[in-house]
Amino acid sequence: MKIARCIVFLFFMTAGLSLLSAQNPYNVLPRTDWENMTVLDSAYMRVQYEMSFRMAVAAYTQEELDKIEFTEDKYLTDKRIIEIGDEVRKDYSGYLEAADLRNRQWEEEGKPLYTSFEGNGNVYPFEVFMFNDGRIRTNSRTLATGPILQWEEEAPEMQWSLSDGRDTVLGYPCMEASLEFAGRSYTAWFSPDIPVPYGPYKFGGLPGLILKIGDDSGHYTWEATGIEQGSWPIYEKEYMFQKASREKSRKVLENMYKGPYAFLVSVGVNFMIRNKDGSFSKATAENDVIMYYDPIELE
Amino acid sequence: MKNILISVCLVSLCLAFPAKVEGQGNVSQPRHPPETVIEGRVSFASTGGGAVCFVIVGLQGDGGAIAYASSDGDGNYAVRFRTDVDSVVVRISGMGLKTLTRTLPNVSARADFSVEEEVFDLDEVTIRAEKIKMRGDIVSYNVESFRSEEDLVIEDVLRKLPGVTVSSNGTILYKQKPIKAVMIEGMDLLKGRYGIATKNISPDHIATVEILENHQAVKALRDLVPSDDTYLNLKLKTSSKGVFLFSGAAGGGYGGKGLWYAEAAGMYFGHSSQHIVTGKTNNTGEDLRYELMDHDGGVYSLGKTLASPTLASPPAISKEKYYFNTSYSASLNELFRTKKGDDINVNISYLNDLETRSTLSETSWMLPDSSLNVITEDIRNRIGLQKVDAEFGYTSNRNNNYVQSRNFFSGEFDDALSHVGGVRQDFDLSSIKAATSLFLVNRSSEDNAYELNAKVIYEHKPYRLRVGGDTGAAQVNRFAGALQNVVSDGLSASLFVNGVVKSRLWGITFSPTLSVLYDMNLLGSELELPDMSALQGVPVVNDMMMNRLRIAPAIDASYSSMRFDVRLFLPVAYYFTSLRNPGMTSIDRHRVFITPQLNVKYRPAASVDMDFDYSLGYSMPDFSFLYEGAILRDYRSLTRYEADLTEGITNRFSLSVGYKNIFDMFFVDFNAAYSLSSPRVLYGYDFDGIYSTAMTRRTSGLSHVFSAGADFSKGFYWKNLNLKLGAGVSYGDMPYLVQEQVVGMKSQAYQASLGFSFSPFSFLGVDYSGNVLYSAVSQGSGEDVAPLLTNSNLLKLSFRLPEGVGVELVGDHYYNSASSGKKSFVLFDAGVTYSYKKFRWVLSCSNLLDTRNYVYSVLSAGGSFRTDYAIRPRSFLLKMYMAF
Repeated sequence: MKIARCIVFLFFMTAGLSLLSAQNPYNVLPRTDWENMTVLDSAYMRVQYEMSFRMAVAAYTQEELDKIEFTEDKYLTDKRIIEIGDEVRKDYSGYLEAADLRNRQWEEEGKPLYTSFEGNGNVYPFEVFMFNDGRIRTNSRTLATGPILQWEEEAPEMQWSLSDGRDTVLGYPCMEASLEFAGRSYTAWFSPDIPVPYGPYKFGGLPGLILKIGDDSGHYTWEATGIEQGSWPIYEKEYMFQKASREKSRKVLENMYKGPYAFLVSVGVNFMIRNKDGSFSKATAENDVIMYYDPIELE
Repeated sequence: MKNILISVCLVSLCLAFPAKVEGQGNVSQPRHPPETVIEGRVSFASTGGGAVCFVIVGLQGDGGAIAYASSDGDGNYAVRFRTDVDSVVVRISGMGLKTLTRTLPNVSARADFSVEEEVFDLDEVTIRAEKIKMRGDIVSYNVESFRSEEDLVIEDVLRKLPGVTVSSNGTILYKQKPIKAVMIEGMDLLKGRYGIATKNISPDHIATVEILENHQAVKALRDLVPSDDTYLNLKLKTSSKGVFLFSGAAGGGYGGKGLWYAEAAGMYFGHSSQHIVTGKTNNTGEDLRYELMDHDGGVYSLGKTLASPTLASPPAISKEKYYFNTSYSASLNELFRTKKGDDINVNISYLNDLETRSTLSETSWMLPDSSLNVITEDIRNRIGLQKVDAEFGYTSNRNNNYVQSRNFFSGEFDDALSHVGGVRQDFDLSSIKAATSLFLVNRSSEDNAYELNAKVIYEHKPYRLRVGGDTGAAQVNRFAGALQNVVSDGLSASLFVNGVVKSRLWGITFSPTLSVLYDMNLLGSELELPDMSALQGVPVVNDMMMNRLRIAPAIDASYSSMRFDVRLFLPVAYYFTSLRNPGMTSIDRHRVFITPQLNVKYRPAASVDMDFDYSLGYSMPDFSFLYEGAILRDYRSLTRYEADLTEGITNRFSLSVGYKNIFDMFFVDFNAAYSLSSPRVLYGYDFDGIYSTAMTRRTSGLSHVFSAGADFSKGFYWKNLNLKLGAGVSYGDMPYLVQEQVVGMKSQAYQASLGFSFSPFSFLGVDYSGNVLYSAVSQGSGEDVAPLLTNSNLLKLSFRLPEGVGVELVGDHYYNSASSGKKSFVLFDAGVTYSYKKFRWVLSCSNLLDTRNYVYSVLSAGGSFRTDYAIRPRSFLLKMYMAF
């Protein structure tokens, strides 16, 4: 834990420096503190997506934040892995998972831990488990070594409308469908040639695998970059989760974005930040910043 | 299985997206044509059963979908849509069924569809899976990352996995330790006979090979009793689950005589049952007993065979090079899993094997007076074997209770003929074994469990050795005309009771145990000679009965944490041995021994294992060293012993350190072992020319044996390179009995090995394995047998040419410094393969140089052995393989 605190300190030193230079302060840390890994199911198919989302840029005031333009360089991409089993489907960040496992291994070997990720280094810090009994469980990381929120909910209804558009993704001919979901409008491309009714995140219900989907505002897109058949365990790392309802968890996350320093202080993570004049001071609610908050589900 | 999969997908669709059971999306239409409803049933053409699938309605031409629905569990569907076109295209698709499209008029009507089953396969794999993954004590190897086109069965792939070794008889070792079992999808179909799986299942069907280290297979003992066992689990590809799989081969050729080769294996691996049926025959040098071997011990024999014909000792080269055989085998393996998760297994195997051997051998015994007693023999053998093994078992493995009942039957019938010079030896043996075992575990609470393990084995084994002469035998052999009859019966019954109690305070598990073992051996033998006076009154009849009872209460204390596992097993054993051989022996012996065992495992990191073992044991002579009536062991050896029940003592120490770095695919293992023992009684031979007589002598000498070894293996993504290195050293210093004298015998050996496989180009695969061994033996008298240096190299080049054509070139090189003639021995093989879809044709030529004999030497305690062994001549063979 001592190592983790040091990392947090260094991390936020840098983060504080770069708040207004459009770096992403919400760069979650790999974690190593899971107790066990529980195998939930065996996956028969694994699909890899490139997920594009907006950077959680930060500013000292809401006015400054609103002035920031989301140009192309402020979009990040994560490697999402979807594992499909008979009973469970899991959506998680490939970058974050690899870094977690690497650091756990290094910690056990007594090596220093790194906060780096493979690829472009950006992760969208949640994992979703969808169960065949209609439950959805989401594990969402918070800042640094803050608590991991966990909530369960019922699978949402998805009323798709089919369109006559055609496209090809990964060489598979796809059909077009559209959906209103949680405050956003989505257009999806699914392939009847892969007759599994799933896709990334919580999306599903079409007569074929969703290979591409994005919201019409362009804030979020997923596009399949690989697909394979095989057999893999679908496991869940058992952390000391902070369990709450969906509504409560969403409120915690919203508050965290609105006041990240206050959030960290509230969960017991103390750290120093470097101010604009180069001096250091303890991060408090008073010198807090505001991060751009753009959840997938707006309602 | 396919139906199940479809059902799972679609049922999950219904559950996960409840509004979508028969929901459809409709393309927004500017006008509102009347609604069309198409409904009906989708069924499988083969069974008539309902198919759970998607029904998609689309426009003709390149138009998109306008509506869809999913059928229910009975295949019924109804899809609604609005469009003003004249006709629509209905597409039926689903996992495990062949996509079907049909054009229908745009009117409400009933439409039934009949679909065919089809395994769903993605067009291609488009992302690279990681080669190895580690999750706790489970290491997963991605098969596709390690296999090459030449690999026919999964065993070929296992040989390439870093950290995994497959010995020549098919035994699988992980980090140099034999695995406990091979499971398929977590089910133990084959028990210890896993060669049936590894030598028949195509790698096409396997997605992942999992190694489960420290796996406690008994659920009721998990988190309570640590396990040292390693299991291998084959995870099937989805497309291979629940479907009938078949692999087969057939071939013929010529190699001094007509050659044939045929095999067929049918397999099915489902959720509730698994089945493998095999049938094989060949006379091409492939030993089928390896496939049927029980690597878990099976039903062991209760007594050594005390008389047998003189057999040629096979050389240490690939068996197919020298194995002149005619072999047939069949096996039936069934496992049924009940709805409650209990397993019922039936395994039956049959082997019929006929082998011929021919050699000219020279055995040198170093005598205490520094002279060598050299025995030269021209040996020709014909060895017939028929063997039937059957097992019926039941296993219930639940969280709180474990029940396993295994019942075995084994019958073996040997018929061997040996010619040594002018002496003929006829031998026949029958062995009937039956065994039953019961293993019960009850987990009464989180910290308590009780175990009971009972086993009974019975064996009846009559055999007969007749020594005759080909021509004028009475003049050439002292025992010509002899008939040795032996009947041995054995009964072994054991009971092990264990109560596991975990101390809450210290986290230590204490298990009071009671072990009771009862062995009964009956030995009846009689030697008939034309001239009994030649034996000068030596008794030649045994009617021996030995009873041995062992009662051993013990404390088994173990502590387990993330880093440490410590186990101390402390039994106090009472032994009672009763030996009766009328007219010769009548002994009762009572002894009490403490035989502690200590095992310490330390894992400073997930990648490092350290293991230390110590044990103190007492060795009890079994009845094969206690009979006083003479038995003719072979045409030139007469054995009888003094009935001396004195126990030997042995201390064993071993240390192993293992390191594995999954990310770098790097495995290193070091091991060292030392044993210090006091044998107290020595057994040896008194030579009189070629004849020898067994002897027994007391000794106070100590025996020291030390061995150490290291193994490295490393996998690379670059060129698919896999590298394996090994090195070992051993020293021995022990008392040795020969010619009525106890002398000191010192031995030393150094060994190194190297192996690698890689693909420098996409069209070329290279496999190499090499071994160097230096060994030396010296006797206390000062005379040394000349040291021996051997070296073997195997190089295989596989060329993958276009159009499914492959060429394989194999070179074997053996060097033996003790050979009197040519010290190097080279064999070349070549083969051409052609693959088309699921078929592969192989035209192979073995032993291109048509070498006929292999001359080699080995050193043993007290002497050396040199042989000129006949090997298989040049042969041509055309085989066709198929796998579905």
